Amino acid sequence: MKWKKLGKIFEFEKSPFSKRFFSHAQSPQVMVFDDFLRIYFSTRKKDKDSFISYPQYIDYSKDFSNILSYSKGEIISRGKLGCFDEHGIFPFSPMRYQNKIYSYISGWSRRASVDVESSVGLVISEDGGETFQRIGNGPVLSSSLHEPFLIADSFVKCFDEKFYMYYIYGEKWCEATKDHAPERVYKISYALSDDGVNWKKSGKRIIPDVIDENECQALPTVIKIDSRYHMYFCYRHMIGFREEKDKGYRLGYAYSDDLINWVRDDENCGISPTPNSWDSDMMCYPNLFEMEGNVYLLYNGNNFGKTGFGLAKLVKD
Amino acid sequence: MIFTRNKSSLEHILEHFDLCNNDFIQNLKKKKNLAEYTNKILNHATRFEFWNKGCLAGLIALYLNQEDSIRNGYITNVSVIESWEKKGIASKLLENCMLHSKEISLNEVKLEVNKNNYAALNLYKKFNFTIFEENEESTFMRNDLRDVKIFRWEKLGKIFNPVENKISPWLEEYAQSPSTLTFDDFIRVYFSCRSKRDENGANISRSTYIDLDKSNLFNILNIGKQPVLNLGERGCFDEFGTYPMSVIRNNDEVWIYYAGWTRCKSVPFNTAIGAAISKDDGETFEKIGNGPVIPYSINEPFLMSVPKIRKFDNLFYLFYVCGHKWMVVDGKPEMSLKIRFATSSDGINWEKANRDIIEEASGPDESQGSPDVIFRNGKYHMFFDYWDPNTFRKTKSRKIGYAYSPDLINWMRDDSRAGIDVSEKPNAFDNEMVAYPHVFELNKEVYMLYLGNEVGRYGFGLAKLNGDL
Repeated sequence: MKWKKLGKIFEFEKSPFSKRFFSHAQSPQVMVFDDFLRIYFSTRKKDKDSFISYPQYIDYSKDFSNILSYSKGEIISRGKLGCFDEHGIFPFSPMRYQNKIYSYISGWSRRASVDVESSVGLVISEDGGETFQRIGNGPVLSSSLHEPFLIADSFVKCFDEKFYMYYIYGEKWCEATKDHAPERVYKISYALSDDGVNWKKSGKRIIPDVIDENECQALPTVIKIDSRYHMYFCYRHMIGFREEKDKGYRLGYAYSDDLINWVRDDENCGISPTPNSWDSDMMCYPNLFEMEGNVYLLYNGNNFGKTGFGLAKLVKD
Repeated sequence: MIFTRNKSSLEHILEHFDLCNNDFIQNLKKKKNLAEYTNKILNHATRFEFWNKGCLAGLIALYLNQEDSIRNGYITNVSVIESWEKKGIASKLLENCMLHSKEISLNEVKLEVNKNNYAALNLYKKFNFTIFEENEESTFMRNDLRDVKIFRWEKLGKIFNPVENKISPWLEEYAQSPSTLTFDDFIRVYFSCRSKRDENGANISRSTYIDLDKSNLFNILNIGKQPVLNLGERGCFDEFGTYPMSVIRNNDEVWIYYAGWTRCKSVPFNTAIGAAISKDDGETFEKIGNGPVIPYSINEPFLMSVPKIRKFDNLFYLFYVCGHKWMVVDGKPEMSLKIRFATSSDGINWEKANRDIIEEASGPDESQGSPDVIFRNGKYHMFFDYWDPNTFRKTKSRKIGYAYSPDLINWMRDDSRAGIDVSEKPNAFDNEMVAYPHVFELNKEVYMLYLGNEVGRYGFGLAKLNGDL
């Protein structure tokens, strides 16, 4: 794979969102329309304890030269008291299905002994993706016997009339030391569904580690090019990923011919940090999409997308 | 489905009659005597009611007559609204009426029925009514109640008081959620207890057991020396407690289903249901995974708890509650919980029914708990507890309800038949609440273990079934 970076296309501070929100434009995810391109992302407001993530969107012309519109209010209401998504939604992952837009949301809820717990919910839009409603107050995918916590980062696509969900689950919370709070380890798995609502987990990890057993893997995104499926995701060290640039998120790559068995091949990832730039220390939260015959990659750079997101275009052979 | 006694108002009954299409009511309407009749049954009759979404859909009215030392009942009205006809409602109301008549020791119950009303005649015959008089229009029937079986729980006393048996820091007070396992010589009762509260007022529930002498259930042979379940690892659903639970034998193993507790920021806690297996006859249990066995789902968003495991016809049934909503009452979070169930062929992979199975009897916020099911005499009987989360902290009241089902799918709730209530003795351990029923059979008798005041803070008591289910 070979990518040409097109640069940071969204600057939070210069955007209209900076008036309503505090910071961040994380996990950009695309919905392509006839005349424009909508990019959903999660942005933050502070609250008395921490922050809450809210999904919003911005519409671009298909050549990325103009901002055509953007969300001016809530696109999904806050989760109710005690619910899985009470303390924010991040990421927000849309897909088209039967004239509606389904979005798989990662809901956050705060815990006492660890920072958070998360589960995946489904919200549906019948107004072309401007607003969404929950199908219920609970999740469609949550912790289970062998995936005890931190279900998140769902990416769903239909292939041959079957729904494939790639997502992450928590494997362990490492105990705190004098240097760090409890830290989590999470891995990529997949689940299958016939209707997008009722899911069966595979119970299988699909991406082997390259760092060590505590490698954290996040936000898988999948695209089919010709007859092969390609997955991008991000991965990092368990400790030190916030401060040390060698331990922060990088993009990883894997390919598959059957959507189930994946070969990790980071050497052919084709994209890496550019020194002294907005993505010099970190690259994370990738989203692959196709538009007008080209394949693009949206992603966040330094600081987990605190200041915006950027774009790259796949270079054809 | 929900049945009550004497809850209907004049308006309910008038609305009900308006929706009925039977000759008796039509005649009253024609004669313009309906209001007078309604008032009469409201003031003088015992009313057996069936409700559908706040509408009185079925009604039997029974007058009580005293002649010398003979106390008789007279059924003056049996009516079901048109949309609920032919659904067995009259039969269930009649059953309730007969049970109540027996309970208050009537000598007999009489009624009059139109000679040509074959459906009604057949129904009364099914309930062992016999004809004692006939005229041109009517048939007169009577029933001496000899065949009517009722039950009551006879309280035998408190079995175990944890406060008097502080055997370790984790067993400081409370003995909640009793669940039995039968051995050759003894009955093992698992229960959950709590540690002392920490500086934040929080405590941790653990579970252990006591063994009771089969020939004298008040004789405690043994108390568990350690919790039977470990707490979960950091971040897991059961990091801060394992309570409540229930057990079942599965081949050579004993399986336990329990609610695990985690602590949250916006609400005090959340719970999910886990499972563990014992290979040493219930002494220690090994979890089958670090996560829950019944996941949260679209319409079961939180607070999955009180798992009650049963096996009927080779299928596992797990009755449990799930959170309907978190409410804020006087600035404090309170839970509204509803009874649900799931089935499984292996005890690990569960299919949820995804619906509330016990209709609320005390308003939409009613909390329900401890759905304990026993099969007896061709029916499934469920004892559970319920309370009003809006007033619970003030009233400290929690009661035991009853429902029965022919098929484990449709449940008929009738709390008036639960047969157990709070004690009227001022110093009794259960004079404020009765809660967490668990029903079990021993030596052909049926017993109930249940909690008293403050949800079992001072232990659980034993009751024995008089009559039959």
